[in-house]
Amino acid sequence: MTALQNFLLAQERSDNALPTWFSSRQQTAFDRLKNRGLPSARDEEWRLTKLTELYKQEFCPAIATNALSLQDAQLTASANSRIVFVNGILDAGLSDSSFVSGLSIEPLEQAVLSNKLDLEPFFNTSVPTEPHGFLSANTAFASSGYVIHINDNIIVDSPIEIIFIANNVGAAAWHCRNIIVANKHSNATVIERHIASGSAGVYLSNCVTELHLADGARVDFYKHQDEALSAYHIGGVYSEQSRDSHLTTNNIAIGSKIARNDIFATLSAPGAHCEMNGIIVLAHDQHVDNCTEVVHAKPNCTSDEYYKSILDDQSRSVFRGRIIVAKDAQKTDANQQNKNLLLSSRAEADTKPQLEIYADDVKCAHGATVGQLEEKSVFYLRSRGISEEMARALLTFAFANDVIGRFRIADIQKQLSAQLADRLLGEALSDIGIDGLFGETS
Amino acid sequence: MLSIKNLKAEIDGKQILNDLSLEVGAGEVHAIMGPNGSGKSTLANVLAGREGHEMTAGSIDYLGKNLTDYNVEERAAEGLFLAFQYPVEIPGVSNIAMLKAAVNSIRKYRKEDELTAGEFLKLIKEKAALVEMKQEFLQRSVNEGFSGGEKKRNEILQMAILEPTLSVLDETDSGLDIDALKIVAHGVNTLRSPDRSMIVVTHYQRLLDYIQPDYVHVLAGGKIVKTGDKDLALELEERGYGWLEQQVETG
Repeated sequence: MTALQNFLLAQERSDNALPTWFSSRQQTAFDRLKNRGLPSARDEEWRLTKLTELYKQEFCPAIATNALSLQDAQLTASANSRIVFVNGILDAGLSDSSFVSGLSIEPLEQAVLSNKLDLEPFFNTSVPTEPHGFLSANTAFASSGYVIHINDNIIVDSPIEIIFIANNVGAAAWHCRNIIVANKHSNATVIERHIASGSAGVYLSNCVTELHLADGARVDFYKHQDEALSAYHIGGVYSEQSRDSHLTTNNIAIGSKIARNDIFATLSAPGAHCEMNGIIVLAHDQHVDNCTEVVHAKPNCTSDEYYKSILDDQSRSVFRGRIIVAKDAQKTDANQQNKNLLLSSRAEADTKPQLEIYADDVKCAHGATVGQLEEKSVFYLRSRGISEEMARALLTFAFANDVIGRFRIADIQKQLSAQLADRLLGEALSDIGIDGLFGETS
Repeated sequence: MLSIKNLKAEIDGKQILNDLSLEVGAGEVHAIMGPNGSGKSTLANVLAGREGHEMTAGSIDYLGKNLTDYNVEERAAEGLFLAFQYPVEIPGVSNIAMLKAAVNSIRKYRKEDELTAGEFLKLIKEKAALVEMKQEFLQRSVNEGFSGGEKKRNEILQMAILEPTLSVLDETDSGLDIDALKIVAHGVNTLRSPDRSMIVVTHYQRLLDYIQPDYVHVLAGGKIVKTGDKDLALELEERGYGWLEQQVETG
């Protein structure tokens, strides 16, 4: 049996009578998946991320588990609305949405069936026209996920939190599809957490989020991927931005055995701005592949991309940064930085900036570094009485700090700092506490 | 307090210190002067325990202990402080966090209780005033974007907070304008006490107008070739080092 057959057998498509526009797009994706199959090492875009082991798995559809409770440490305290999916299935009991006028938060299937919102322009429309197999699979099999719809001029003050939790699950796969529509001059913060609890086996979470920003909309989006270390996470964040809109995608990748994430942004009208932040912290044999793409389709758009990874043991990070500046996208200002810190001689970082510039009056800057902690800094701290272990901890955190500093929500900053402190160096930092640890950059 | 006997040290296999001996008593301030490349900074770094500065012969006794038995951070906890010639910039670590980590690490080593947040802030405020450092510098990343003078003041601030028994100031005066020099010297002089010693490595006599040494040593060719009082510094200012180096070669 081929990997694809294996994969297809295991998946179920929804029985519900869905609107034609929806089911026909699912059918198209399903046909494409059958014809093209899943990505292999021969695909240039997937060359550095080996999925051989994943393809040997026989994934079954996920089933819901018994009730679980979430710990405070996994939640964003300031969030007022929360949707929780357990093994890809909505858990209404854990979900809690407070009413905000002009804001609608719904499960995908319900939103599609009720047809109160016109989702036709927003489902599968911000994704690449030549999707890879996992994206096709996500489109074909998506029956779960969330839809956030924000009306014109609505400012949603507190963050909206979506939790995808894998709980006591074996070799299951789920394909959640999420849609965020921010209408004109609306403003919202959305936090996606991908976490695990209980015993979690070799599961696959294939999770795609589409963002549509109308004129002047501002969205601050977080994807906090902290899957079980045995898990696969394949995902995508695909956005399309209209005039003067402002999107920040913050990509925090800490978990999973192998993760692959597409972060694609299309700036479709003048004045749009997109900021992409990424912090990847890996150890053991973890592997995280981030494929980013910013398309400057129109003039006077700006983008600012800042990705950092910290790699210990024999972990590996892959970063691709593609910036495409279309022919009439004059006065584009695009910046891309990727910095990698290797804490072990066996860790590996691959970084690949790709700039395709067809306009002639643009500013595009990019830089990539791979390095280790500076020994002169370690010596300096040690000479002040700080142990070598703590000196290295401080310097490692300092490296992560300027990305974390870009996150606008204090909750997230603090939680993430604490998690990184715990994850990377446990005791060394608990001695001094992490409050006020990080310097302000001049 | 410090007794260095027949010290030889090399960097990357190249011998820098050659049979250097130096005795520093409690409460004394020793100035070490000498031409470029004579080994002044090497001596400072060997004392601090910097990697790559290999001691090949001789002994360093500090408060009755063999200094080389201690690693870098243990030396600091034992009361040895090096003010760097080129303080390192550490983006992302705040000055105050580094100081807190340093103070509490040293207290832990000495089996003392950690300072409370309140005690620590009080200490920092008091010492920052001593070197005329504004509060905002404490929140800034260590030395990042600091001017030369600010970096050196930051070194003295750290020294004032850690209250070392033996301070080694490695060309703390280089690149300072006269106002910054006075502030630095004031900070250093405030710390002088009968149970604290200092080794002031400098290229210029000017610093010694503000920090008056008990002894002045001239380091040349990796060893101390002449020792005197502060008048020796004035003589060096006038005559340079050539006459001493010649003496060494012919002697």
